[in-house]
Amino acid sequence: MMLPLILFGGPVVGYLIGQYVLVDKFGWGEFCLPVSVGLGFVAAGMQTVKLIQRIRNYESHNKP
Amino acid sequence: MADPIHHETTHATGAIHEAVHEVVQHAAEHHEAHELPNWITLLNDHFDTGWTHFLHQWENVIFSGAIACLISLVAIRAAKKDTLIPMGIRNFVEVLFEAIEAFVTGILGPHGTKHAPFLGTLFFYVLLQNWLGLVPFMKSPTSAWSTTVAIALVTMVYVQITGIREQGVWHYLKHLAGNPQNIFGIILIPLMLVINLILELGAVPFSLSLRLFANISSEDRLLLNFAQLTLGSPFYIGFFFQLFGNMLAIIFSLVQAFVFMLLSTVYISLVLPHEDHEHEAETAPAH
Repeated sequence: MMLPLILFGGPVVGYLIGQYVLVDKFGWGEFCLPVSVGLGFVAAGMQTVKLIQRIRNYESHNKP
Repeated sequence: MADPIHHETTHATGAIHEAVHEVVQHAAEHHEAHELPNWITLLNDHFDTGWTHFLHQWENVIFSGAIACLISLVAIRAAKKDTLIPMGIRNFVEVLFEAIEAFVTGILGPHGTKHAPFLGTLFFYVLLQNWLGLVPFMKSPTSAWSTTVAIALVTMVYVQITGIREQGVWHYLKHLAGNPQNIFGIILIPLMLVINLILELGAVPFSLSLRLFANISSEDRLLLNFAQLTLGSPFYIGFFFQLFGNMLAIIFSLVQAFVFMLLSTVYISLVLPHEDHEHEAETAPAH
C-alpha cells in the first residue's frame, strides 16, 4: 500500500505546493503549477525506485 | 409409553437450540450482523444499566487489556523461575522468544536483537487478540479499527524513534528530505519532505491498521454467517462449514499477526542506516 500512496501522493503534493504556495502566496506565474506537478511525479518516482532498491538490497543481503 | 430419558434429551437439545438461535438472532438484530455477541453485549441487553453501558462502550479496551494482562502475567511468571535448565513455562517462553529473535535478526541483522522484545510482544498481542474472537462469548478487539489504529500508531512512533536514535537527527532529517546528492535533489527537498512525512506518519499506520482490521472483522462476519447457516440448515449440516470457518480463522489470525510483525520489522529496517549513508561514508574525504 506504500508504493501506490507515494505514486498518488507525489503529484498531489506537487499540485498543492504549486497552487497554494507558488501561485497564490508567492504570486509566481501559472506555469509553476504543471512544473510542480511534474516535479511531484519525479519525486514520487525517485522515492519508489529508492524503496524498491533498498528492499532488493535487503533481500540480497539476507540470502543464505 | 414415552421414554423419559429421550424426552429429557430432546427437551435439553431444544433449549440449547433456542439459546443459540437467540444469540445469533441477537447478533443479527442488535449488531447489524457484524459479529457474534460477547458477554458484555449480552449483559448490556439483559440488565441495561449505566455500568453495562459503560462496559459495552469500552469493550474493546477491556478485551485488549485482558490480553495485555495475560501476556504480562506469563512473562513475569516465566522471568521469575530463574533456573540453569529452563523448565515449564520458562522453557516454552524461551523457545517462542528465540524463534522471534531468529526471525528479526534474519531481517535486521545482528543489531535487530534489541528490537526483538518489541516485535515479539507485538506479535503475541495481535495474535491473542485475533484468537480471542474464537472463544465463545468473547470478542476480537482487533475487529475494531480503533484498536488496530492504536497498535499501528504505537508501531509508527517506535519506528520513528528508532530512526532518530540509529541515524541521528541530522541523517534522519536528510532521510526525510530524500538524501539529496545534487542540485536536483535540493530542488526536490520540499516535495520529498512532504511525501516522506505522509509516508512515515500516514501510510505506515494506515496500511498496518486497515489490513488487520479488515481481515479480522471479515473473519468475524464469516463466523456469524456460518453460525446462522448452521441454525438454518437441515440436520445442522452447516456445522461442518462453521468448523471449517473456525479452522480458517485460526490460520488467518496467525498469518495476520505474522504479517503485522513482518511489516513492522521491514519498516524498522527502512529507517536504519543504509547504503546511501555507507556510500557517503566511503566517498567522504578522510580527516
